[in-house]
Amino acid sequence: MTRWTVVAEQESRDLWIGGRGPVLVFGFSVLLSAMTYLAATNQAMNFLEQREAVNLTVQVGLAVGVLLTVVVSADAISGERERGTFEALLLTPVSRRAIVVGKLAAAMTMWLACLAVTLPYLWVLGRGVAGAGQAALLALTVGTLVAVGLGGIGMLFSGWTNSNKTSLAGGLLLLLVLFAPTQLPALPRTGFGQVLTRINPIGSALHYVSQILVGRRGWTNDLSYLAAPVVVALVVVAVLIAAGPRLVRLTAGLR
Amino acid sequence: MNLLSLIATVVMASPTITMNQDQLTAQLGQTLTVESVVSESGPAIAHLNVVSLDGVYVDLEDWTQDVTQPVPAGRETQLDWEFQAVNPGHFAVYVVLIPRSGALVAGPPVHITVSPRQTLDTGGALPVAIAVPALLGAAALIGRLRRAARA
Repeated sequence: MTRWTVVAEQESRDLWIGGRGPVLVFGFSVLLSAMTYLAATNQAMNFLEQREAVNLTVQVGLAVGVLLTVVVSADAISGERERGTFEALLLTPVSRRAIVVGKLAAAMTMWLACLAVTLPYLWVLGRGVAGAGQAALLALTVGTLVAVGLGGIGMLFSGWTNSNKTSLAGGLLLLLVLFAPTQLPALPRTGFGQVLTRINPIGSALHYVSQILVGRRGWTNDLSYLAAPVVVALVVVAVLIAAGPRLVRLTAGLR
Repeated sequence: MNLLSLIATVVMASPTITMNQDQLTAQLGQTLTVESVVSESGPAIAHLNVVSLDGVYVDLEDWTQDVTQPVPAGRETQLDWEFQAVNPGHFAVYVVLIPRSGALVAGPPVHITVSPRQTLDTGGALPVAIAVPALLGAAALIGRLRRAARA
């Protein structure tokens, strides 16, 4: 087993056996249950709106799943500093890069758990419109890209600060800034809106998903919209690996 | 109206539209294709329209993404129209020709009966909406209780 997988395994165990992972996922499932029940009780829902319900579930699953991933990753380093448990981890015979990669991999298990929880709801809402399988595959591919990118940014915040509150606030503020433009209905239709949507990893990912699930376009038609999530994920992982030794310190700072 | 178009109007026969069928039945969500042939037309634009015969509101954008097609000048132009039945009920689908000059020409309607298909209901959603949080909540609770017992 490579070093980073040892760290990932230990961190995942801390998250899911001793930590808050199960409680966060439980809250996530309550949210999706409420949404699904409301959608199913809508007697006037027609065929197209059912596809939109599947799309909404993917979008909420992606947004909240990424939010929970950022919450976990933003706690990864600054949380250990605050709790005074980082010293023990630094004394283990693993490189600092392996610690960073292992912690990011553990944070990604939160996203995968959210995805697994979303699947039964997609199945219920997508029955009969052949949308459930496609929606699940979209959530897995597009959502994982967004989760890696933004989870990695959360970890960068965590490495740069000594306070857990600061890194969590930074991560959540970033998500808010990226998510807010997606709620403006007229944005993608203007030239400036197009640019803003394409450079926003969340906005472009949600737009791509909608185009396939509701617009019934092919997977390759709007592939350019995935440029931002792919670039952000690659750049963030590269920065984390390159800056790993500087991030994983007992105290944050440039020293 | 200039002299040339006046002559063209007098000389050319008036355009006609024919459809390849006059009645269709479909299930909600089914994709259908009808074929229209525009004859004796100058350059024009053909437009597809969907009307509910039950008074239900029809959003044309939901039914089809391609509602207009250009028609070149010629004896016969075949146009295929693909659309999806997104509302249950009785509908008429027809094509209107908008020539560069002159009056609109409407084709015969294709009557479509769309039968409803209930795929989403409270009964189907409720077990999942209850079971998933219940299982996850139980798992979280059991985990906490086991940890507390060990401590």
